[in-house]
Amino acid sequence: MGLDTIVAWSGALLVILLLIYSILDIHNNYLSQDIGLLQTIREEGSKFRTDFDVINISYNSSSQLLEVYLKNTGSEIIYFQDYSISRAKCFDVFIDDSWISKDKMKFILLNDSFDALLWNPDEYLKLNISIALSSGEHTIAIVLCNGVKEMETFVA
Amino acid sequence: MGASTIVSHLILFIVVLGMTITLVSVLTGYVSQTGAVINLKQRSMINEIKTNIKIVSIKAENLSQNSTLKLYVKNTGYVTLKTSCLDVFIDREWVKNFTAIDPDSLELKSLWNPKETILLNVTLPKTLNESEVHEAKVVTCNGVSDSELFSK
Repeated sequence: MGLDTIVAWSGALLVILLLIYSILDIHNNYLSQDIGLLQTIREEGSKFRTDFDVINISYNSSSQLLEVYLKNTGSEIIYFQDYSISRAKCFDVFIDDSWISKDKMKFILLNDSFDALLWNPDEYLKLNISIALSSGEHTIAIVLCNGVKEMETFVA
Repeated sequence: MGASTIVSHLILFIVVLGMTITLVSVLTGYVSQTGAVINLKQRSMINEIKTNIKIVSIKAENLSQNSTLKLYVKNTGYVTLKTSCLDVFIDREWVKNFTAIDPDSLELKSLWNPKETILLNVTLPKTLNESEVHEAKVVTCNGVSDSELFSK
């Protein structure tokens, strides 16, 4: 094998390597974007599996405490964003369309067996709200982190 | 093969090589520019797919001109949004005066993270009929929107 053959084969090998690298680079770019999209689609699907119900609402006018019992009726586990059950940061609560400040609310997971940070399907969540309400009919709206909303009317 | 043949072949070779190099460089430019545009469009579309907002509550105490309408809007998508380029429409009319604030601290919000709810204090440009149902619409920078009906 002459020197010219070695040079020719080396050249061909270099070209093939460059081609493979280019293809892999393009594919990697597309793959990473596809994975990002798939993750978005998967997380969007979780919204359809998320559901909850307001089971009971009671108001104690002397202590100005509103107790709301919620049940996870969906098939999705609901995570508490800031890892603190007492301050579920991305849960929004409105009473008569008015925003309830986070420091007036406390979330307590009931019948929780082992994972204190997760609101599992069929588990109950108690929401205590310190608020002064006039006697009569009021509306409470609760919005979860992913935008799933539940509204209920109650009498104080 | 004479010297003249070698010279003519050499000239032809150089001309062909020159043309090939020019063609390749022009094509490379086009291909890279097209690739960059496709990539940009793809990223923009992915960003749009990942963007989602939801008007979770509207508080309308007064519907007279210059009164404040409170829109609570949640970022239910997966990207951080800028509040500076949000658009608000009331009954399909663009509203110029509104502020985006944190509903807890009441501080102005410039960046709006996923899962966060912001309060848009919208100054009504004109008096709305209290016996009618009205529509509030919020549009993000990349055109994703949500609308909700409200009345007093």
